[in-house]
Amino acid sequence: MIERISKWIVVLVLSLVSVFPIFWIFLTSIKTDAEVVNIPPSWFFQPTFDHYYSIIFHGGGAEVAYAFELWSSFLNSIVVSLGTTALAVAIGFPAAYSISRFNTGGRPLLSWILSFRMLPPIVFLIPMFILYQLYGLMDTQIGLVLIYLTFNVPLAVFILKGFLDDMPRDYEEAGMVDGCSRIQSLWKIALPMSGPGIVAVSIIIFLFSFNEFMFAYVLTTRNAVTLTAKAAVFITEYTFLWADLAAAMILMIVPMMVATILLQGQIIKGLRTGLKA
Amino acid sequence: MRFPSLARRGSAREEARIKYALVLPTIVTLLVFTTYPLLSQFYLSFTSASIYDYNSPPPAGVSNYSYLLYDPGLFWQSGIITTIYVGLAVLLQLLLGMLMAVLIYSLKRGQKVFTSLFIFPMFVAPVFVGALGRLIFNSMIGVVPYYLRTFGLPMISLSNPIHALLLVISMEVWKWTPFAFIILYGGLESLPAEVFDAAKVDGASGPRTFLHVTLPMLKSIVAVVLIIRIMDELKAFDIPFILLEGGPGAPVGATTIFSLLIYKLAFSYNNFGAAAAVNVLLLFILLGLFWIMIQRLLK
Repeated sequence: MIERISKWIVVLVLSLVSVFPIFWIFLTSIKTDAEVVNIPPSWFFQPTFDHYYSIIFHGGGAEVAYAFELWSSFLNSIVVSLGTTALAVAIGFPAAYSISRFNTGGRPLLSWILSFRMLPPIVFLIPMFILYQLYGLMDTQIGLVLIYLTFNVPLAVFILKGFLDDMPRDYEEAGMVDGCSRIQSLWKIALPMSGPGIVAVSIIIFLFSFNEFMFAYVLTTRNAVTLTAKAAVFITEYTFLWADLAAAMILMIVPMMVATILLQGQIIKGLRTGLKA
Repeated sequence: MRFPSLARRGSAREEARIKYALVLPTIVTLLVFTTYPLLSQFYLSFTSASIYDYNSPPPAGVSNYSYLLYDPGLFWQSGIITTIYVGLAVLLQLLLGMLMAVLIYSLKRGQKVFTSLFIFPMFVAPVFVGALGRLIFNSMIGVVPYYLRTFGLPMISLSNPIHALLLVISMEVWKWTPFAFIILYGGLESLPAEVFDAAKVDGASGPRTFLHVTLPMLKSIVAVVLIIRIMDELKAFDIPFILLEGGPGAPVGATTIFSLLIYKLAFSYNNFGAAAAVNVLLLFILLGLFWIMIQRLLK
């Protein structure tokens, strides 16, 4: 009996801890600026949606010259994430197919590709910074996409290989008996059948790219600034504009949350399959 | 009888061409974008490059390395902090994740509800987790310090190095525990139920069953989570950076893990050479870890 009650207590405490910060951010986003710095912290107050309004339509706190520029940075994030996802899958799927069906390169190749997951991105930060300055890739979307590819292609290969391994070859063999070449069987049979796997990988890569911070922060200055980088500058330069920041955060967390809830089945499947590989 | 497939698939050479062609883009992408950075870091570590002369930096021999390795307050201090950070963060994620998994597994009702609640932190981008932390633990207007004060509990001060480190670890744990939870729960689900029934028949109690039956069966999944999270925490940057930018103190503050040290050396102290040296040292450490891991796995 005591065991049952203590179990529920722990569950509730864990749930509270998991949810409270986000709930608090939501509360903060609907407070007035004065309410936010109220001591003791206020839980009940007259809500205001001014901050959402100003973030969405004006771009930031009215009295601030520097605008949060939600839309342009959001757009950058979307473009970079989509580009990375599309390219990573386009590059990774053929490789995954090759390794899964032909065991190309055997274990050495697979471990070599795996080893990239061990490399801390920080190691690439300075060389890429220098390289990008020299070749004019600084502050470009394509620049970000290229560096993101380096980290996401191995992931794509891995997870897709896992999915392909689980997919029976019979269909492709049947196709080849009917006259397909190897490439055609990849294109017309394996690819469509890997739909779920590709969706899972795409979601994972998209989320990673969208939330990426370090490279976005260092390798962009004005034009290609993504949401995360912009938020960081906003946080450090305008620490007092909590409510606006909170509103921006909620705007970004909620869609992510909805999307992840809807697609959680796929994501979990993708993660688990990738682990098997 | 015609066997069109055999006729077409005639040469093994064609198959070889195709299979290598398929992996080529991947190999090229990876090679191009990693060889240069790695080589450049190695080279730069022997120079005293800065933001002005990174193109033809003045050579500096091993001075960067001696500077880093002889001064206990730089590389070694950051190393200690990184070790504590990674160790505690991963340990907590595993323990809490396991706790969550076991709890949800043993719930009769509300599994879905509580799972969704537990997963919340995963949706927040690391940058925002940092921002969140700053707001909630702000010594003046933060919720947590306020209630700690009210209830007479010990105060959390961000200028206290230990508190700062614990805070950074806590936020990281908050964000990533759901990941461990999901994987471990999947592991729990895939365990055959008969073993638990057998244990119950033999009269084993809850905790004993867990320790002697469940846990051993989950060993490989736990190992996987452990390795993945260690690798990820070694790369951590976003949350510590936004929270405290390296923590109270400089140049190596209380929360300056390796990645932050490299960033600081390069962009705050304008010392690309020293930053590169730390990178090289870090790579050696990781290689060592990787090698140990491979040895273990091959047994």
